[in-house]
Amino acid sequence: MAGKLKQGEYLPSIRGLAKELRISVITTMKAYEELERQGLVTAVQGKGYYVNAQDSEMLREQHLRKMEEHLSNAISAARIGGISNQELIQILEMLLEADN
Amino acid sequence: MTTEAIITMTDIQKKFKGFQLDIPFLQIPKGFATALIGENGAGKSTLLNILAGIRLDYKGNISFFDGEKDEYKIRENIGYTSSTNYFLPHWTIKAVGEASELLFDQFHMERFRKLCTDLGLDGESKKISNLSDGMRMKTELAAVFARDTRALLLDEPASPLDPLMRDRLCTMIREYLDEGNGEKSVLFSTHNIADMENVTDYAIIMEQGKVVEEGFVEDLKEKYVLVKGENADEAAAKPLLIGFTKSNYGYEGLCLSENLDKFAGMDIATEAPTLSQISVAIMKQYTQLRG
Amino acid sequence: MKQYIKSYHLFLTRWWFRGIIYLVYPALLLLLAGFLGNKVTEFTWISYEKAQSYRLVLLELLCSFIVSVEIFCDYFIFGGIATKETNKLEYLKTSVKGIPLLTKALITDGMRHLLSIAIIIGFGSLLLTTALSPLDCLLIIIFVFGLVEAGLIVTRHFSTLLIQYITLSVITFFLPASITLLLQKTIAFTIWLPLLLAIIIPFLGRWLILKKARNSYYDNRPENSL
Repeated sequence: MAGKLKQGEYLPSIRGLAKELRISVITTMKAYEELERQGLVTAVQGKGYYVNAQDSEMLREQHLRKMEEHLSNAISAARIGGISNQELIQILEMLLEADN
Repeated sequence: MTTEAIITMTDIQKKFKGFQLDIPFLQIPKGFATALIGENGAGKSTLLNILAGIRLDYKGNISFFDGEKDEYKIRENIGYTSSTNYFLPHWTIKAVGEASELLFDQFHMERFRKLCTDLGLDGESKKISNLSDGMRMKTELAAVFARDTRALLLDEPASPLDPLMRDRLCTMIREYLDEGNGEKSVLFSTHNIADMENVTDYAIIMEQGKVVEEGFVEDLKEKYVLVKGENADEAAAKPLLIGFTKSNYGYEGLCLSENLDKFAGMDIATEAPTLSQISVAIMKQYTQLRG
Repeated sequence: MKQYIKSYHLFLTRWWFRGIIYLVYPALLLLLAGFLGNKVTEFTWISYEKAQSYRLVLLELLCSFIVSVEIFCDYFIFGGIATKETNKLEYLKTSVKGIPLLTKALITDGMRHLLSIAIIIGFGSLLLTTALSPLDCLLIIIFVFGLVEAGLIVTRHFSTLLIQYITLSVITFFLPASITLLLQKTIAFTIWLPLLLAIIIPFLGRWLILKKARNSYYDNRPENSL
């Protein structure tokens, strides 16, 4: 999603990737299978895995979910640390400004 | 995940030196690197000898490459390295190349020479009997990788090698698999899986001539979970665990993931086990039963 | 043909050793024969009968040298190749061409023995002016060849150098007397012995080695303890 591979392009072969990353083939295979499970790539018999057409709606869903998860974690941390909601929102605003 | 088998073994039995090899059914998956793990004397070398065709007295059936019947085609496409020296002792490295040329049609002398240089085997006139174990293993590896094969059978290739060369070996295996694009396979044996863990796709654990566990590494890591807990719970935890160890700070052991809920109420921490931990725990279990 | 020589050369690896076996040792022995032949010719003027007997003895000496060199050198070529518990042949066994390669090498070796022996004894006897009839000469060649092969059976089945020395000593001790007896042309010696030695023993020797090699594919066969 960082835009390195466009939709329709093929991912590196599982063995080629394993060779480059110096890991076992089964690891790259499971990784690709996970990507397929998430709907990001599709497996084609004999050719490999290619990047799915971007469904912006589905993508947005996914990232929304991720963001909620991370925010929940932030809230839990705040609770444990005894940090008030006010402070939490302040910090969030600061970070957003810094990111711009 | 459906995978084809490059070698299928049925009802393999062999009695040898007061020890029995007994494998009802075993398949080596195609296109992957499989590790044959076991203690010394577990039967790994015996099994590899049978698969390499240098021992013919066994009962059972072996099918290679989708039922290939031509012995010449089978042997031509399998590369085997031994855990001991299998060259004539007065041979030089050069002679190994010449012999390989006569013995195998798909042997490439230029590739052999290049591999020798790459692996640091200079001095083509060094005699095999004068080489260290590590150099000799490198020669054996150079000779098999210089051939066009569809399967490699390596008997404890990492044992005599230094860590740098072991890493190099893993790279060579990955390159071999990549070249084959799913058609080439590697089966290697080891009694120290930690070194080869990051190239292992499929693991077969042997004890006393039998296969006691096998599976794709990722699947095994989901099947088992490493459990660490307090000594107070030892009595309840011990029967649920394989490879149980205890120290002053608590106990540790391997548990089947499906049994994890039986630990409810006990103070435990869980983590995914490494292949090494899985192997050790399982091998320990069978050693204990031997009494 | 080239395959046969190539296979043989896998066992005879060092180029200088090849030089010795093919050229140096026959040449040296022939030179020796020439030199001794000269001396004997000089001696003829002194005593004709003694000189004649010397010629034969010198030829027998030449034969002893041949046998010693051949058996000793073989230690470095096929030494101990048929011993039990050896894994020298394992690499060859991983290929279907392995055992045939060994067979070709053994055959080439046998031919080479025969050729060397024939040349050395043939020309040697001329140089020593022993005046042996071609048939007698042939008889001696066959006999020596057979004897060498018999010795090789022992040295190839045992890997210690001690065995080589013992075999060598025994054979070279009995060699001169045996040749003299051979030339007496008593029926048994003249016909049956050379036949046995030259035909049966070389084949027997090689058959034994190959049988051992084939049996090494099997761990549990009783024949393995040959």
